[in-house]
Amino acid sequence: MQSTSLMMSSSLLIIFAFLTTPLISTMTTKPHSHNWSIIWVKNSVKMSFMISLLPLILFINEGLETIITTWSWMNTSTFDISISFKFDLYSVIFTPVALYVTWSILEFASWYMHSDPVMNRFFKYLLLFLIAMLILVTSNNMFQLFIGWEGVGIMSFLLIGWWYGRADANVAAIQAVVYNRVGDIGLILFMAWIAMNLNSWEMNQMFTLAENKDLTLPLLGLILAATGKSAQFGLHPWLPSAMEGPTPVSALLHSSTMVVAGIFLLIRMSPLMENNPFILTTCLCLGALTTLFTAICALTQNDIKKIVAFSTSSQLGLMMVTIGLNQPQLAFLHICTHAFFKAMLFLCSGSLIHSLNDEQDIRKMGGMHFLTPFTSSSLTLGSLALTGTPFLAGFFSKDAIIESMNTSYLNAWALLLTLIATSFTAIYSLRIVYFVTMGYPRFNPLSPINENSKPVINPIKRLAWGSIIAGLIITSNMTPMKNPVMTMPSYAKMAALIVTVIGLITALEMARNTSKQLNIYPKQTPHLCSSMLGFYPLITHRLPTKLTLQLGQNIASQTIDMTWLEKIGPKATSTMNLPLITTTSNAQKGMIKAYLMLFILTFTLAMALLI
Amino acid sequence: MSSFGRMLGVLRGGTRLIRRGPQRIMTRKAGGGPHIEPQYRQFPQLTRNQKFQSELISGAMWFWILWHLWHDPDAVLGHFPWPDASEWTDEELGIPADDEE
Amino acid sequence: MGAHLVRRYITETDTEPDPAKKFEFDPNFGFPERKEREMVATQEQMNLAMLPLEQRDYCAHYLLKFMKCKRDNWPNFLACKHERHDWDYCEHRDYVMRMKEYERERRLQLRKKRIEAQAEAA
Repeated sequence: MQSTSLMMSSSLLIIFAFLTTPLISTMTTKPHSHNWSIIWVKNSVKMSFMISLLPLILFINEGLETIITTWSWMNTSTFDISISFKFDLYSVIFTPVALYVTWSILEFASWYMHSDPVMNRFFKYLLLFLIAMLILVTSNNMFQLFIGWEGVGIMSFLLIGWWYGRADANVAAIQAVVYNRVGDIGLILFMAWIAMNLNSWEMNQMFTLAENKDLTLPLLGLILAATGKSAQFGLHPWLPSAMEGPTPVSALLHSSTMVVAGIFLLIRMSPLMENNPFILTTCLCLGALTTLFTAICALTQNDIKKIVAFSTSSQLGLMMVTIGLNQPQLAFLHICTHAFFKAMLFLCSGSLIHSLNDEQDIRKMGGMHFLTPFTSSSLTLGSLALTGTPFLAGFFSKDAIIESMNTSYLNAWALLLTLIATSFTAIYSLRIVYFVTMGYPRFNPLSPINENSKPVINPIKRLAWGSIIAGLIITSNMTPMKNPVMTMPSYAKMAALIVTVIGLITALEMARNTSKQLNIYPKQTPHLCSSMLGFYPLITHRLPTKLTLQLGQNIASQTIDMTWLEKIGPKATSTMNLPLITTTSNAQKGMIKAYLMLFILTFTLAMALLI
Repeated sequence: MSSFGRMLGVLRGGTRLIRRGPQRIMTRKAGGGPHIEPQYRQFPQLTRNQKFQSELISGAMWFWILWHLWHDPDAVLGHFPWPDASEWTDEELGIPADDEE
Repeated sequence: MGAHLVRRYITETDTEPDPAKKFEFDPNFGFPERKEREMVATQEQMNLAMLPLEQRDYCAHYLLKFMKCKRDNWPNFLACKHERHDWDYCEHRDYVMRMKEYERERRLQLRKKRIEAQAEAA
């Protein structure tokens, strides 16, 4: 037992050492060769992946529960902060998955970012991001988790704004940062509450100390944090905007690793949430709303990356639903399987985008199956896995989630929303496959189509195999922590599949119609609503600014100009004085009678006063 | 003295040359292979390997799905039959008739 | 599921029991004798296996067997199909038992209502 925990922590240290070596090597002033990214970064991540398998094997072999390694970091008189790593099922499985996905993405990025003048810096950023993510995942301490949390946030900002010459990219980066800060307020609220009331940031101590306390307020903060980071409804618009970043960034940060940090936080904190039905229902409804809303938005997008981004958001909503069902392990399973096929979908779209001379519009693709056979096959595979085709990766998590939802008696509304969103998943996935790989080419004849390059094929291939078998491997290595309900009517069992198939058929029928000559309809409201993303960014981004501007204008024109200047200030004085002046000056006509009259009048007045 | 200085200069130049090595034009090979040139209305350069890989991965996927469907259909169709509540008798459930108490 | 919802909210709103509440009738009511169910796995065994509280049900001994099989056949993660099925089947029977309890409660509620209606009519 002693040796096992020693091996766990030392292998984590070796992983961190491997990952930081390339960072240290950038500290010299000497410029690096262009191969630096391949030789140092990719290989160090690859080695780290191999090493991270060791704790995984040990963990499963010995059937461990949790190993916690703690070093004291700093002590104040009342509060201790320690560096504390936690090796439980979640961190031990997620570390290899994240490293595997990152390894593939880095290799792909060496092709995709090939012509970038500062590719080495790009790789360095990705590596820094990965380190922050691993810190977040392995931490057993809110403080350490917060370091990782902010680390991934700031790397996300830098990477979204990678092409900083473009105004859109800058806007998207700032959007991401601002939305994430809103979420951070929640996390800080949670941490402050915990520090004040429980006087400890160690997770185990938190869980034991918090047993008899009303945690609704801090847990709402936690949900806000997850909402910001995982792009749940309300704080979701940054995720599709983040597609302005390079495709490897989208693949790594905005689909497979960073955005699941919020869900991961909730999974970690699930012992606190378990006994609070209000919080669970909030999660359930928030998740259901997110998954449906973003699925609707995905239906009418034409940008291939935006569709995949919205589907990511939709899947994140599904994970949130699972948290709301009080099934953190299933949510974690979905994180893991989702990482494989979503990263692969992004890599495929990156390959296509690059091959078509930076064309992202799916209406201008088509027929790619003949030109880039491997990418197209993988794209189809990824879409099938995403829709939950039996025995591919997505099935094992998604089907289990929907089953456990069907068998729970929690909330029929949330269940309905999720089922509709599931069928929408099939619709937009088919839409991608249909428009990109089938039919006739609609792209520029001057396209440098070529996928026949090792750094393109290998990462996609690796992730494709992952999307086929990862689901079975991960599920059969995890003993369920909650008893799964196996007894249900067959329609409940098949519900996920049935709605998916209905979605597929509908989508096929509609997609078939696109090749026919049809009357041109004006934009219809539902379509407009979907393609304008439910008017949400419009309402939240434009309306408040417009309203404040209008209010300010009113204040400026009404209060300052009209009231102060006209009614009270100088103009008012002049209007008040004007009648006096006119009467006085009207009296002065130069007539002797008037002067005499005045004289008599004043004289009598004076006399009257004297007497 | 001046010749000595000149010799030093030559030596310094020579060492610099040696240290720098032969001048090479830096080629960027980060992506492994070179990127293909833009083409105009040419058939894309597919290789057999590429096609084979794509067929292999799709085939593997379908094999995986069908093999599991054949051997493990429970995961899709449901593990256990759903009992029919109306078939349970009152005796079984311990419900006396209305007139007993 | 659908039948329950319809009965609960539309047709039999007053007799359909609420699954979140405690049942009204005595479990021994209507049976000549009824034995309490036996727990096979002992507290000590479950403690040693570090089972979470939710899994300490009447099927825990099958779960323990399943976990043991997992541990013994470790690198072969596909091995314990049989044990897994045993556990699932036990859970299934447990679920059916709970369904029967629910159905019993429902029918008893209906019976109570009928008796009350007769008493009123008489």
